[in-house]
Amino acid sequence: MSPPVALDDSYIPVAVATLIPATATPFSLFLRDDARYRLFRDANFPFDVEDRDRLLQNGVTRLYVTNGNLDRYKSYLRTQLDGLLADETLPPCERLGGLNEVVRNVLQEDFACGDSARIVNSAKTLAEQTVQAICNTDAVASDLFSVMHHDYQTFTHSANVTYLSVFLASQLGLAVDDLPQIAAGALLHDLGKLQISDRILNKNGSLDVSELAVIKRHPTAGFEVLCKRSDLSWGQLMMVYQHHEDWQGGGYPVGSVGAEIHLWARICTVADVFEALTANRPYRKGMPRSEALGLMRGRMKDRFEPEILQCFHTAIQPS
Amino acid sequence: MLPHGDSTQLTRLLQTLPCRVAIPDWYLALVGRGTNPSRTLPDERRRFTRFNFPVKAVMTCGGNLPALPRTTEPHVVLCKDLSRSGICLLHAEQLYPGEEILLWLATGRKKYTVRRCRRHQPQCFEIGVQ
Repeated sequence: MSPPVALDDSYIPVAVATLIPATATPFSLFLRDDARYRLFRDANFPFDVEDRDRLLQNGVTRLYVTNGNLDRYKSYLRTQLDGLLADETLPPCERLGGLNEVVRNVLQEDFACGDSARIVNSAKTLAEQTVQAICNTDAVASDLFSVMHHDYQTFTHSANVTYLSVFLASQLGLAVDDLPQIAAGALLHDLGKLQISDRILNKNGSLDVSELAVIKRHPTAGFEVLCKRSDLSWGQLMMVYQHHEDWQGGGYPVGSVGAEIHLWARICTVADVFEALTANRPYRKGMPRSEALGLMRGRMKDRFEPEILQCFHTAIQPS
Repeated sequence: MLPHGDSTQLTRLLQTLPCRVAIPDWYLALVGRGTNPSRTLPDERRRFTRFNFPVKAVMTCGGNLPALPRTTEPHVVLCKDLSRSGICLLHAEQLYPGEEILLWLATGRKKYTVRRCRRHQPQCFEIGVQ
């Protein structure tokens, strides 16, 4: 072991599950020991199965990389993701954990640059991997919940809504071929929020009428950005445009009702509301899952197609 | 104004095509006040003054959204109001932001782009075009 390194804020946690055994990481890995970071593996030194198992047996689920190596970590993660998802020795939650790190990293970067073409391309790639991680690993709801972050960043919300939408669509028995499209649509569903200032999105208090009008424009704004593209299906565009429509009417932007709302958008609505209720916000802590479900089945029930809500409720109940 | 032939064709279309819009009562009241443009109530969110303009028009969809195939058949729509920047219509079907339409009024034919759509009731969507 190397000498202790002083604690500072330039270390970034990375999930052990995202490190592929038998690969040499192009960055150094650190262990956090109380208030200090200690070198665990130097760059380009192989990280093997025994290393990973020993860490997990000791309850260590996170290692650290220096802030300066963060880009190398992200690049490594993207390169290794297919291998991680195909590794059947890993339990579903570890494969999902790796996927989640990649999805959040990619979305964070793409959303920050605001280039819609880049976001669409990333969404299509990540969609295939998301479906593989959720449907080919027999993941259950608790696996999803164990990897989901609960901050209020748009990219975190989009990632979580994607996992929940794919999971729900799969539980509803939708065609397997549709799932990657649904995943990509869900990744894009809040694209219009890129046009809203952080001041409004993260406002710590109630929104005034004009701010609410800005928020309510995001489905239309997202649709306008994407609707001229020939590589997105109508269902995907409707997930962007209709995910705030309510089953009984009264939603926005159109006030569509029932079957006027595309099935994929109805699925996205359930996932979107559940995620929004359970995520931490600047002005409130996220609700427990049971409380969020109770609210959705009670006061908010008119917003959702009953069969989809019932399926979601059944699917995420602890077994 | 339109050339005489064009105007005759518009009149013939308006007489022969069905108007499938489920017309709300408030629209009938608007028609009752006459079809000459009259100023609407002031709205501070609007850049330009709007004028009530309850007349029939013929519309065709441009079919410019790749994921939404549209036929080129003409539809009868009801104009509600107009301003310097656009027109508000009632149509029996939903139109989507970014869709291009060709609107045919007594004053001529002009291409517009859909900006917003709001459902009033079945077969009655209010559509803002610019």
